[in-house]
This record gives sequence, structure tokens and C-alpha cells, in this order.
Amino acid sequence: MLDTLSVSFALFATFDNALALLVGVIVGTVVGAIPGMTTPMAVALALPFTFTLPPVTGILLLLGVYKGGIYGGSITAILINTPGTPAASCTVLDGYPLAKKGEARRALDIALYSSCVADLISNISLILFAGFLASFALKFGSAELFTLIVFSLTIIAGVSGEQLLKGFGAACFGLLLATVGLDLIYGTNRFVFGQVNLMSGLTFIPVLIGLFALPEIINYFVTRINHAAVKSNLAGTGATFSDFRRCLKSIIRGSFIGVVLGAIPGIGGAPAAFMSYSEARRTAANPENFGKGELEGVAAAESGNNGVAGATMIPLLALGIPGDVITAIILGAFMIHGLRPGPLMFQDNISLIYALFMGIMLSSFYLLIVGKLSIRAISRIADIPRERLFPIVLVLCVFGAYAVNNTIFDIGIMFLMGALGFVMLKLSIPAAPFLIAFILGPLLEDNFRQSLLISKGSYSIFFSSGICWFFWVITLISIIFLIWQQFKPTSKQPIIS
Amino acid sequence: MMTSKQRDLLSAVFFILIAVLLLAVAIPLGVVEPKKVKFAALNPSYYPKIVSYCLLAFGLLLLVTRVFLGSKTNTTDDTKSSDNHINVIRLLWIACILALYYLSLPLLGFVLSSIIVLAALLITAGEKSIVALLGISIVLPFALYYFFVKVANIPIPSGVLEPFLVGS
Repeated sequence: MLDTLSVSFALFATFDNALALLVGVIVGTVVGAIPGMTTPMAVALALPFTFTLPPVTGILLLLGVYKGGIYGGSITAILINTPGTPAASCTVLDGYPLAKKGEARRALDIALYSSCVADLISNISLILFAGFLASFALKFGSAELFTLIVFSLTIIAGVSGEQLLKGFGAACFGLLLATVGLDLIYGTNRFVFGQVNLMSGLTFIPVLIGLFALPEIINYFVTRINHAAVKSNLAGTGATFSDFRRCLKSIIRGSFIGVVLGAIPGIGGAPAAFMSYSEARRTAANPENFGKGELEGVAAAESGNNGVAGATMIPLLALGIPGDVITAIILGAFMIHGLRPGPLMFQDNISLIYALFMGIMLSSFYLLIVGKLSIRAISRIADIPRERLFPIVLVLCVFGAYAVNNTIFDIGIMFLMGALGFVMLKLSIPAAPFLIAFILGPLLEDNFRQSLLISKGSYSIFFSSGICWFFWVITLISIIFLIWQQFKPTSKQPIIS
Repeated sequence: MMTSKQRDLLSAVFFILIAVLLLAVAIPLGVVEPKKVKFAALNPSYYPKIVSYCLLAFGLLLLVTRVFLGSKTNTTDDTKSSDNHINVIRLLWIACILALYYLSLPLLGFVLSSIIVLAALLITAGEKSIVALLGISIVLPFALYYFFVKVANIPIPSGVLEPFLVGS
């Protein structure tokens, strides 16, 4: 064992590895902060640079980009209401209201600390529980995933506040828009209307940008309020230790939610962030502050989303199954170097695995350093007067929406979603339920239909395992709790939009 | 300026209208159903229909609760009523700018279109500094173009500026 560790350390402890990981974290953070430049895109762009590098160096570069990208997505979510990545979409709910209150740096600090703690917990979990979590994750079939998503959707009631019916209506919009494209089972068209670009469905990023950033910009231009009078003061407003301590419970809980969901192939960061946020809100002393700029909301969202990062490596390394697009690209990098992740790799290349674990642990510290150094500079964005910032953001959104699929059609989708978002804003229809349903919708429908396909149309499959029952019970408890909150005399909940 | 009750009623009508359009037009015309389906739940239109009926139900519930039962939330979001002052001429102007921006992208290219739109929006927003107006309008589109093309390796349509941009 000691021999293996010393070989692994020798394999890891080189200047090239340390530098590759640092460059990866920096590149990932910058790219993640640009709307439209998704983390998978950044990892894919970095892939060719790893061809000539040794396996450990190349894979660490990609892991650095991955981890930096997940954190970077939160920066624009907080500063300009535009999530850099779908996983950061939950962060806008409280991050942007905090920025509007002039507390952007505080929100960015907490997002960074939450990301680093969650990343560290996720990495330790990867090292300690890779085998156990992988076998647990394999117990999740489509019926279990369906019940998990149903439970995740209970957050819609939570984020709708007093506008419960409008929130449910908005969620229906999200679920319906998520059905656009080719049918998963029969391959027939749904709401495509002869438009080839719609066959693969609506792309996340243009929808997210359109729904969150554009209504704000349009509203600025068409309302008579003097928005320019809103001025943020960033100097000396970073998060304090007591802020961090207050959020620690949510951070740790969110990290573990991220670890468990990250270990399940196909789930991703967004559901983990929403579930963590939902749990934080449910257990908070002042749930009415969520959506108005609650620091704990940012912490919960970011920890859930970053907790996934290390855990998605569990099915990849332990079983050779990529959990998402990014790990699929990383799997490609392994294969380019003649390595095949899976149980055999733990026998044949254990020193390489340990070397990667060491690098992964280092990435959490790099993330803290890179994030801390960049926050001071990046948070100055919030000081730019709105008459300049909003036109700049609009053009940035246009380039970003195009870059996802290299199609101008996506820009049209973004503008249409902006118009819908503006109508929703004016009618006080919360946008958050729409977003949650749009992200979780495909998972919900696909697993629902796959389960019925397996059970030959019998709905008993949704009650066939302990995991299913567990999620039904906690869903029921959540609904009872939410109804009780609605009718509680002192209940006064916010609309999160 | 709309009251919260008016907004709720409009939202209800909006939900009902969309649901009816989906059930009567969009699903029958837009969802292609295979000739033979094993179970009703596997039909491609099954799930969109369920969600549309839910939308209809929420719209009707909202309408009923607001018209017949009143609501405890009458004044909750009226505090933000100033947000609802819409300058219709400005709204049309912004809509025109965005529509022209979208249509001009394949013709003029991203850089030139963005320069024109940025200048128009900055002037609309009341930017008084000529240096800022010209600086932002010109530098940002070029910077974004070069970042996406050179660093991210994403081909951005350059339109009429292609002879100048592609060779550089």
C-alpha cells in the first residue's frame, strides 16, 4: 500500500501537473463566467491540448477546467442575473437579489467558500466511498429516478410563495417547452413544425438567458424608474466568518446532496442545486427571506452544484460509466491515453488513480485561491452604471447564445424567451418554477415513460422498491409541510422570479 | 398601472388561452403520433396533454379564486407597482431594435450589427459620454469576436466585414 502511495505521489508531484491543474482551474473559471460558454464546451476545447501530455497531467488539466467551470458559472448568475452554466441557474434566485442590494461581493465570497467546501467534501467522498456509492447508484433505475425528480419538483411550491397557482402554471410552461424535439421512444416530432433546429429540443442556455437576463434589460428600458440611481457599494462588503458559519449547515447538507446525486449517472448539477436549495429553505428559520437575497440560498445552491463535481467521477472511475457530458469527454481523454476506467483500472493502474485523487484534492485549494483573487476584480462589474451594463450584457448574451450550437436560431429563441419572461414579469408570474420544470422536465418524462415501457404499462413499477417508497414518503411529507406553511397565519412568503 | 387582481385575472386568461391552444391546435398538429402504440402512456402526445390539462386547471382555479373567492394576496406585490409603468413607445422601440438585430446578424455579421445596436441602446439609455459611447460600441463587439474566433475556436459570422476580419 505504502509503495503504491509513494509511486502515486511521484507520479503526481511534478511541476507540470501542478501547473496544468492551475491553468485548468483559471480557464474553467473564466469560461464558466461567460454566458453561453458551457463547462462541457470548455472541457472539450481543452481536450486536444492533452493529446501530447502525460495521462495524469492531461486528465488533471481537464479536471481543473471542469471544477473551475462549475464555480465560474455562479459569477455571472450573481452579478448580471445570467447563469453561466445550467447548474448555476439556482444561484440566481438569491445571488442576483444580493447583488442588487449592493452585496455582490458578499454573495460571490459565499459562493466561492461553498463551492470549495462542497468540492472538498465531494473529492473526499470520491476517494473514500467510490466503490460503495457506485454500487448504491446502480440501484437507481428509471422508476427510482422518476420518484427522485418528482420529489425535486416539490421545490416549485416553495419558490412560488403566495403565487402558488401562478407558480404551478409557470412550471407547466417549463414542462411543455421541455417536450419540444424528437420523441425519445418513437423518434417522432413534437412541436417541431418543420423547423430542423427544433428537432434536438430547446437549448438550455438561450432559454435561461432569455428568461432571466433579457426581461431585466427590457424592463430597464421600458419602465420609468431611474434605475441608474441604484448604486452598489462593493468596498469592504465581503462575507464574514459569521456569514460562513451561519451557512455552514446548508453547505454541508448541500455538499452531501450533491455527492449522492452526482454519483447517479445522468442527474447533473442543476437538480442537486435545486434540491439543496429546497432543503435549506425548508429548514431555515426565515424561509421568507429566500428569493429576496438570502446568503444561505446562495450557499445551498452552490454547495449542491459543486458537490456533484467529484462525485460524477465515482461512476466513471469505479464502473467506467460517464455520469454526464463532461465525464464522457474525460472518459475520452482516458481512452486516448490507452486507459479504460472501470474495476480493472483499480487493479492495473491504481497508482494513476491515486495520483489523480491527489490532484483532485489540490484542485479545491486552487479553486479557493483563483476564486479569491478574481472576486475583487470581477465584482467591479456590479459597479458599472446600468445604462452601460445592460447594453453590454445584451450583446454578450447574443454572442453566448450563438456559441452554444453555432446557430442564429438560438438567438431568436433567446429573444422569444425574453419576451415571454417580460410578460411573466409584468403579470407577476414567477420565473423560477418555469426554470426548474424546464430543467427537470426531460428527466421526469423520460424516466416516467421508460419505467412504463419496462413494466409493460403497469404503474406498480413506481412502488416496486424501497428507494421509490422513500421518495414518495418524503414527497408527501414535503407537500404536507408546504400546505401547512401556506395556511399558517404568519406565513408570508416571497415570489422568486 | 395594473392592480394585483388584474394581473392575476390576466395570468389566468393567459394560462387558459395557452392550454386551449395547445390542446386544440398545437398538440394535434405538432405532435406526430405513431400508428400503433403499446400503451396510452407511451404515446408522444400523452405527457404534453396531461401537462396542458394541468395548465388549464391551474388557469381555471386562478380565475375562480380571484373572481368568486377574492384573495388574501390583493396587495402583496402592489408595493412594486412602479415597476409596471410601461412606456409603450419605448417598448416598441426596444422590440424593433431586437427584431432588427436578429434579422441583421446573418447579413451584416455579428460585429457590425452589434456596433449599431450597442450605440442605439446606449443612446436610448441616456449615455452622454461620446468616448464611452464609441468606445463600448466599437471595442466590445471586436473583443468578443476575436475571443470566440481565436480563443474558443467558434466561427462567428462576420457578414460584410468578412474581408477585413477573416484575413486578420
